Amino acid sequence: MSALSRVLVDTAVAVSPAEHRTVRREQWHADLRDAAEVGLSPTALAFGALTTALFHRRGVRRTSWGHTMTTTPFAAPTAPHTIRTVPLLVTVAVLSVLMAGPWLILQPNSGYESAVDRMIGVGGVWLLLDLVPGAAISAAILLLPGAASRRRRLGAVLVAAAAVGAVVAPFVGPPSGWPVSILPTVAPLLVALAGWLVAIDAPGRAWLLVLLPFGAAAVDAAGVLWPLVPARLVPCLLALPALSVVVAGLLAWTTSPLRRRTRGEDHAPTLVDKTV
Amino acid sequence: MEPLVRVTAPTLDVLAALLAAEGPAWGLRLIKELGRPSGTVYPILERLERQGWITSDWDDDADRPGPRRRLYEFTADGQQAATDLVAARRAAEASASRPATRPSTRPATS
Repeated sequence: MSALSRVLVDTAVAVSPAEHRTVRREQWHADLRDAAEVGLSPTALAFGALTTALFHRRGVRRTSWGHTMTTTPFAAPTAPHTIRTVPLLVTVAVLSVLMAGPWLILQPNSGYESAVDRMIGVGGVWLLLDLVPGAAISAAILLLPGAASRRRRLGAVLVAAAAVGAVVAPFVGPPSGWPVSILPTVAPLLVALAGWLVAIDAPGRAWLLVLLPFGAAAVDAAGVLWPLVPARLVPCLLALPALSVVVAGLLAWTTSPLRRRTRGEDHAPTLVDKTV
Repeated sequence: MEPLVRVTAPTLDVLAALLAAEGPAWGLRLIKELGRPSGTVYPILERLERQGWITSDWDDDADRPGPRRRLYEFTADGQQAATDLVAARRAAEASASRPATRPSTRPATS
């Protein structure tokens, strides 16, 4: 069993719905261990496990003819996703936002040579800074375990609207003059954060965190950090307001009753050693 | 037991392999016998179990320490339905392999 196979299977188990994990972990590790015995490639097997985990996420009514039965309610498939999927999607969103700076650095300083180049350059920023994070966080909200479906839907819609709004806002009569000029940046971020707060049923005090994106956008717009950062890396500061929303969202999560409900939902049991 | 909405060729293969097995079948052995990727067979087994066609449980071989193998076998209803499905496929294959009688273009001479 190679390290790669083990990592793939561990990843597959981690992204599996909570009710599958215990069985899949033991089953797939056993299959991995014995793959060579039946002439199968452990790595191919592990990839199969990963694709199963990624693309087949419906709840399984586990049955058994023994006392080691692992059962989930037959009506469970309505919420098969787990909190581990949510951090994964949030990570995707953060990485996307972080990549917007390097993408900008790669753009030509002397203007684009063609309209297509410009479209790719600007489109890349939209994708990295707005659309990909928006899609990832919307999906994360929809998959939030334990959250009321009405809250999840509303939250996801708000985040998706914020992502689209962030792209559209600069075209809709860009306001000029401080501090109004930061509105096209701040408003979508506030809507996105509101979506998250609604979805996780954040307590009232958590709503004070909306001040964080305000502060970050103000600092970004005022250029306070520019002298502190090497000139070549200044475009990376573009990510600051969006990252402040992520930080605010994480801080809000720590206060959410949802977090308490989902904590301890899935502790990986040790593999069963029947020699004991 | 729920009827299968989609009966794909890999699903029929899995059903046939389970029918051919004597007693509970090990998932990995099915993958080997069918020559299909684990990413195809694992989901089919889970779907069949979800829909009540098969059940699964751990191998109780005490000589093998560590993680246990998962074994699958039909429910009573599942076995009957699978037998019917596999038989229907074999009948369809047999009729498809029979040479079709082509209409003759030769004029009648009688």
